[in-house]
Amino acid sequence: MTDMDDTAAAASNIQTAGDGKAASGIDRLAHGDPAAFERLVAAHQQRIVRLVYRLLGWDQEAEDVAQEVFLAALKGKGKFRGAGSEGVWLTRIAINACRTHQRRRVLWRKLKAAVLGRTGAATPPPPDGEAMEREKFLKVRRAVQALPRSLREVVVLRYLEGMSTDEICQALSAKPGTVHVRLHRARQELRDSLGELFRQELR
Amino acid sequence: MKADPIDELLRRADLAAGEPPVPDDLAGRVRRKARRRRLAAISAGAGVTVLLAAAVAVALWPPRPQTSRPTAQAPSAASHEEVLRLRAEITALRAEADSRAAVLNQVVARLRQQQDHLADLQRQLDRPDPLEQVRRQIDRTAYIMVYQADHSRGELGFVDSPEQTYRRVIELFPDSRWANVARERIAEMQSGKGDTL
Repeated sequence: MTDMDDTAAAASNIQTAGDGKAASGIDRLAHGDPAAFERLVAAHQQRIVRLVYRLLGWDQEAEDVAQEVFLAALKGKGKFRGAGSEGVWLTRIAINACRTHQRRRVLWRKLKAAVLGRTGAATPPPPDGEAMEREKFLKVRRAVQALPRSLREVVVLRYLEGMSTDEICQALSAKPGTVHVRLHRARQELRDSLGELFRQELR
Repeated sequence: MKADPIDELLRRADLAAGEPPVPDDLAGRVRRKARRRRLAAISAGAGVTVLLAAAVAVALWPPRPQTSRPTAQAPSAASHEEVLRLRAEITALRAEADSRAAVLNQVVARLRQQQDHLADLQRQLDRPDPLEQVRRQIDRTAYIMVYQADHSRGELGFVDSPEQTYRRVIELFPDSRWANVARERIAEMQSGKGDTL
């Protein structure tokens, strides 16, 4: 079974008990409406690309992964149960696609390092008035990227996507207690890693 | 209620990272990708089937009885003569090609010499005449001296120093046109006409 199939399976197996909103877009897609897919993509592409971008650590490969998300949705359209919103369904697929992509990326980096050896450090941009501010936010983003996957996901969904605990629970198939614990641990780790920067924000 | 500092920090860091590029016609791209993958899967399946069929065919095919290999026949006398003739022809052609190449090299070398000579002549033509350059410099110097003397006489009202400068121009550059001008200025000063330049 391929990684893509994993994502497609995730798309098909989702069990949501959310807002009870009718998943009419997916229904129409499943019943062969040719324009339904275009409508689904148009309605969700902004949010999905942004979510993928953040989950991958603000990576420019977000577009490719977003394509995989909608491809998995297209494949798994017939298996959508319709109990929850299509937004949460797509979020779940996006999370799985990002996990797959990151696994591949880690493997690829290991392979590349083994074949080519270490590469040189990138040249920093010339210093200017905004360099310090840029550096600060880069540090924050790196701290988020350095979190374990389960913690990083809840941080992105909660703080950057603004999702409620219920929605996060549906997207991650996790219990509310688990989500709260992960959020607490993520905050703790961010406080530890950002140190002085965090204290400056508190002042 | 005070805002969560982590929330604030994360939102600002996210904002600073900029918006991700949202592709045009994402739905179309996804459909094309799906089509490509379907085709690739079909091609791979077909390839595997063909390989399997080939393997089965090879396994089931009855082995052919081994036949004795035909031995190489000794070359006949006629073909030997033909080989010798061709070798001689190749040698003659090679010698002719070498002699032609030598002639060609000589012609090319002569052409190069002529080109170099022409380039030398062109360089000599392009080079300015040093005598002409000196003459121009002299003319320019004499002009500057006359101009300065005119200035000190006309603007500043001096008499002695301009006259000395005019005389110096006549002395140093007697054949220049500015020496004539200097002579005219001295004559004017002596006749009292050129007080107002």
